[in-house]
Amino acid sequence: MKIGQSKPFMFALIMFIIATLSAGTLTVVNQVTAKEIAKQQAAKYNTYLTGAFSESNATVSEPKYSFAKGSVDKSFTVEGKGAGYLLTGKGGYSGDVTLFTVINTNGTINTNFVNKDTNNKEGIWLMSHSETSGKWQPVLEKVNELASLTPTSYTFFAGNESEGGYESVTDSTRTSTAVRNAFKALAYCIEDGAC
Amino acid sequence: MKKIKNIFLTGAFYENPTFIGFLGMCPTLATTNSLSKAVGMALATIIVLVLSNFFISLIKSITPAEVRIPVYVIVIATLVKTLELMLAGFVPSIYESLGVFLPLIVVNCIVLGRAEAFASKSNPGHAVIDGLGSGVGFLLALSLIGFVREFLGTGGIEFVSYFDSSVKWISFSVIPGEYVISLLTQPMGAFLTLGLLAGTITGIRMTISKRKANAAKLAAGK
Repeated sequence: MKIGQSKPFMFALIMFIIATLSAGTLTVVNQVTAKEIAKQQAAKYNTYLTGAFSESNATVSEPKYSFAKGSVDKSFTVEGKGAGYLLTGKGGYSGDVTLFTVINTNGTINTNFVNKDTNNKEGIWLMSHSETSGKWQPVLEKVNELASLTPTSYTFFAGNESEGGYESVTDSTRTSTAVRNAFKALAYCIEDGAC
Repeated sequence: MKKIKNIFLTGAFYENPTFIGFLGMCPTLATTNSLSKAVGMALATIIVLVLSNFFISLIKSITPAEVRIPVYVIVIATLVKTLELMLAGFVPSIYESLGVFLPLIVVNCIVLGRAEAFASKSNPGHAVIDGLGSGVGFLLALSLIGFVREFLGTGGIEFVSYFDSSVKWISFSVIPGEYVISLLTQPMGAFLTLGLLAGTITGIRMTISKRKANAAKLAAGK
């Protein structure tokens, strides 16, 4: 007879051992990769800030400001020019959406960064998501297009269409909502003086 | 040696997971709009497939039959998460291009299918060869679909380096813009291409097996 056959306790024990081994492996892998992943992220923020302000010399802080549907996770202030913000918005189609955006001192989205592949001007980037590309790409394209055509305040992306904000993208309503929630968090944070 | 060759060829060709088994359709349809994405997806799947087959075969004697599926899923999920973190840390461009489809390898039927059908009944060496064979079969199928879709859909092939997105390993354009079938790069084109290729391959297989059967009949008649 094999170990554990017809013995529930043995089943549980074997499952426990395998789950523990799995957790141990993932802990080790996380330790090894966490620094590299943080480096990759930091390099991205630097690229966006350099594209926007021609310098990436920013003061990094973590306001950890949150409301029920979103949060401001990091801010990168470039003295006298503006700031970059890492935002999280809840309510996406399959989870949270993390965005990075660069705002000028006058409150408009900075779209000086030019995407090398598409040649489009961008000021809002997706950092992590659980949506399929078909859902978030049209939303990002739309918000970047709107921001690059005329100087647009970040508050425009925090409101619904009825509140004078931007219209949700058809078929990607929930992703649009997540983006809106991320900007709402930023708007509340700046209103409260925490950002 | 002959057995090893047989295991490999069965996984890669005779029981090709995509065109014969119709397994792992979600990544097949979703990531084949470009050749480089299709190859990246298949390579990631090969790594998971080989390692999951190895570990599952290794623990087969201590895995009770009643809880084998949850155990397989834990092993596969651990490997996929490990691969995901490694790619995010060391090869971010492939991590980004695969996006949400990378974690979906956990539920790829090929991985669980090979674990259940082969690895749980064989020794670790054979299980690795089977994983490699099925993985290569998946790679060939995805490359073929990816090539057809990208070539006919955009008029050429642009194979972007996995390590630096500004470097292109292969880049050529043959078909003029007005003659490309851009529909093929859309999701609908995935179904069309898969259907036509699977039909063609099944047709070829049936013709070969008919010829073999006829030849055997003739030989028996003599």
